[in-house]
Amino acid sequence: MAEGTGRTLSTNEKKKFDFGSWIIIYISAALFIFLSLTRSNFFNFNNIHSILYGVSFNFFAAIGFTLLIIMGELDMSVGSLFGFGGAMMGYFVFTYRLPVGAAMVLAMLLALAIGLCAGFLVVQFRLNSMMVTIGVMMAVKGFNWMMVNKFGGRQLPSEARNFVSVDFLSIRWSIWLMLVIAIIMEILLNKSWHFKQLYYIGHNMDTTILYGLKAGRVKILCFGLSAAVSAFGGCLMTARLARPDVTVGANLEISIITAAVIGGASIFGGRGSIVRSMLGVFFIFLLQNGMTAYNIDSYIQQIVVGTILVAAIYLDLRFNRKKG
Amino acid sequence: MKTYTPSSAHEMGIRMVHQELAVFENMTVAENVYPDFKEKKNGFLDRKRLNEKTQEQLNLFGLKTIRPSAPMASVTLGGQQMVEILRCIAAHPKVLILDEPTSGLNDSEAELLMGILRRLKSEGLTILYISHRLNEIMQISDRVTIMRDGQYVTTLDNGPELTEADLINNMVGRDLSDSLYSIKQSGHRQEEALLEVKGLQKKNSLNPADLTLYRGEVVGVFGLEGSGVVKLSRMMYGLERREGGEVLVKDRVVKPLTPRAMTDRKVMYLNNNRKMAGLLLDMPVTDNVSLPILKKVSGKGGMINFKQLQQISTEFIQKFSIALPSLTTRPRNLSGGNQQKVMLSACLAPEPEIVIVNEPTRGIDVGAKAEIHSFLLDLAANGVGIIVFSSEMPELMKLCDRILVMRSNSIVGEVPSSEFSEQTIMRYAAVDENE
Repeated sequence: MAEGTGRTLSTNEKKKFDFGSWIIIYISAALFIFLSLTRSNFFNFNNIHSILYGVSFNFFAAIGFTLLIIMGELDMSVGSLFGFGGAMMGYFVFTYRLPVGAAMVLAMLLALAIGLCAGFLVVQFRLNSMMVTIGVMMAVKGFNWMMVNKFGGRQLPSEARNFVSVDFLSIRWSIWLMLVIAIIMEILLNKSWHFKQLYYIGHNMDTTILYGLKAGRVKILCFGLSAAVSAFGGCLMTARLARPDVTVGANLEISIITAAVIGGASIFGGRGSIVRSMLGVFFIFLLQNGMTAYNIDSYIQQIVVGTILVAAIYLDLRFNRKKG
Repeated sequence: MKTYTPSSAHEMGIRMVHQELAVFENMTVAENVYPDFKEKKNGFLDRKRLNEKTQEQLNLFGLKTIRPSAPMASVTLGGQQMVEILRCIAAHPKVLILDEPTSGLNDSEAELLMGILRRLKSEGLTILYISHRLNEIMQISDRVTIMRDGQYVTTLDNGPELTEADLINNMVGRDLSDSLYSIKQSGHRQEEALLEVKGLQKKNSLNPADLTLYRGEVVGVFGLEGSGVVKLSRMMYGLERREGGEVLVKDRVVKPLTPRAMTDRKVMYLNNNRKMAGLLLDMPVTDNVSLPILKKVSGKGGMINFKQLQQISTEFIQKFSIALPSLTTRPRNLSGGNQQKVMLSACLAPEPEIVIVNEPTRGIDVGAKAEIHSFLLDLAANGVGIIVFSSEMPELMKLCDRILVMRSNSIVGEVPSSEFSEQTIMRYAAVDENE
C-alpha cells in the first residue's frame, strides 16, 4: 500500500516496502551527505538554517498545490500569487499606511478571492485547471510587476523585517511553523474524513459525487486556500527582503510542481503528501545551494531543474497513469 | 476478399448512415452532400456547380426548406439526418445501410424518408434497414431478420400474413425454464410512498415522467436503447440537469435536487457502468465500501474510526461472499461479478431506504447474477424501495412487482406482475400504438 494514498483502512497482508513513494528521502539524504563530504562550508548550522529558512517561505506555496494535485488539479498560479501577497502587502502599507499585519491579512483575502474565482471556473465550466491557472499566473504576474515598479524600491517599515526574524530555540519561527503544519496536515490527510476525501476525489470524482461528496465545493475551497496560503508565504518573503520585489515567487510554480512530483504526487490525481512535498521543496533548495557551492552557473541550474521536472513527470506517467 | 475495412466496403459501393450523426457542422449543406467534390473553375473549387448539384438532389427528394449554401449547424437535427442520407444516396451506392435512421426525425420527416426509400428500392437499390420501430419495419421491408443478444434468430418474409406479434415473439423468447429466471409472484400492497417523481422532464431527452415507489416495492423500468431510460434514472437522482418537475422523498420535495441531497435522504444510486463511476478502481476495497459512510463513522473533529470502517467492510465482504485475496485488493484486479458486489456494498453501506439500481448484473457471471438478485429481493423484503433500470427483461420479471416501459423518451405503459410476459413488455417498448 502506497502511503501516498492515505492510510489504508485495513491491512491483512504485510505491508510491502514501497520504495517509490519515499524515494525523495533517499535522494535528499544522498545529496545532503554528498554536499557535506565534498564542500567544507556546507555542513554548518548557519548554512543549513538559511536553506531551511528559504524553504519555509516557499513551502507555503506547496500546501494548496499538493492538496489540489491530490485531486488531480494543477495550480500553476501559486508562484504569481506568492508574489502578489508581497506586492499587495506593500501596496496597503505604502498607500494606506496600514500596519504590516493588517496589510498581510488583506493581501491574503484578495488572493483568496482570486483563487476561489479560478476554482469556480474550473469546477463550474469543467475547464482545464492548468490552463486556467496559467492564465491567472500571467495576469497576476503582470499586476505584480506594475505594482512593484510603482513603489520604486521603497522599503517596508522595520517592523516587517523584525516580524520574520523572531527566533524560537535559535531557529526562525517560520521553520517551526512549516514543520508543525506539515505534520498536522499529514495526519489530517490520513485520518480525518475531510481530507481523506481528497484522495477519493482524485481517484474518481464522478464516483464521489454519486455517493454524496461535495467534490466541486471541496475543489473550489482548495483553490482559494492555495492562493491565500501562497500569498502568506510571499508576504513573509517580502518582509524578509524588506521591500516588494519582482523576484518574489518568480518561477516558483515550476519548483513546486517538481517538488510535489518527486515527492510522490501524481499529476493524474489520487496521490500526494504534504510532508513529502516539503521534502521535495527542500531537495530543490538543497540542489540549488549545492550547485551554487560548486560555482555552477545559474542558467545551468535552471536547465537542471527543468530536466528533473521532465524526468519526474515521465516517471509519474510510467508508474501512475490510470490503466484504461 | 482478404481484408474487410470501411474503405474496402466503400470501394465496393456500400454506404452506411450511422445512428449517430456524422456531419461536418461547420461546413455547408452542399459540402456535406459532396464531401469529395473536386471540380474546379479557374483553379478554384467551383462552388456554383457544387451548389447546383446539391440543389438537384434536394429537389429530387422534396427537401425544399434546406439551402445548399446554408451552414450545416443551422439545419435542424432532422434536416441534418436527411442531408446525411442524401450524401450516401448521391454516391449512387449498390447497397445502402441505414442504422435507426428515423431516431432523429419527426413524423413528417420519417414519412418523407419512407417515400424516398421506396423510390430508391423501385430503382433497384438494395437497402439494409436497421430499426427497433416495428411499424417502420413492417412498412418498408421485403424480408425481416431478427437478432437478439448478439445472435441471429430468424429471417421472415414480409408478406400479408406477417404480424407485429410474430416479430415480437422472435425478439423475446429467451429460455425462461432456467431456474435463474422465475417470474415474481407479487403480493405487494402499495401503502407508504417512499419516492415520487412528478413531471420530470427535459426538452428533446425526456417527456414529463411520473413514477411512485412504495415501501418494500421493486419497480422495474424497461426500454430499448435510446428510449430515455438512462436519462430518467440520472435525472431523478440529480446527476443531470432537468427543465421541469420534482422528486419527493417521503412526501417532501428534494430541493435542490442533487446527489448529495438524495444521499442525505437515504437514497442511493448504483451506476450502470462500474468502470466509469461507482468504484474507486485503484483504491483498496475497504476504501470503496467506506466512501459513502466516511462522515458517519467519524467522531468529533472529523477523525475517522478505522476500526468501525474495517468492521463494516468485512461484514459486507462476508455477506456478499466477495472473493478477495485481501482487504487491500483493488477492484481493478477483481472479476466483474466481484466488482459489482463491491459497488453494491458501497451503495448499501449507508443503509439506504431507497435504492436506484442500473443494470445491476451487466457483464457478470451467472452465479454472481443470481446472488445479486437474491440480495435485492431480500432488501425489498426488509422494507427498502428499489427501482431497477434494466435492459434485461427476464431480470426485471424476476425482481419487480411492476414494470414501467419507456419508448421515445416517455413512460408509455405499466405492466403489473400478474400480466408479466416478454411479449406484453416488448409490445409497449417497440410498437407505437398511435399508428
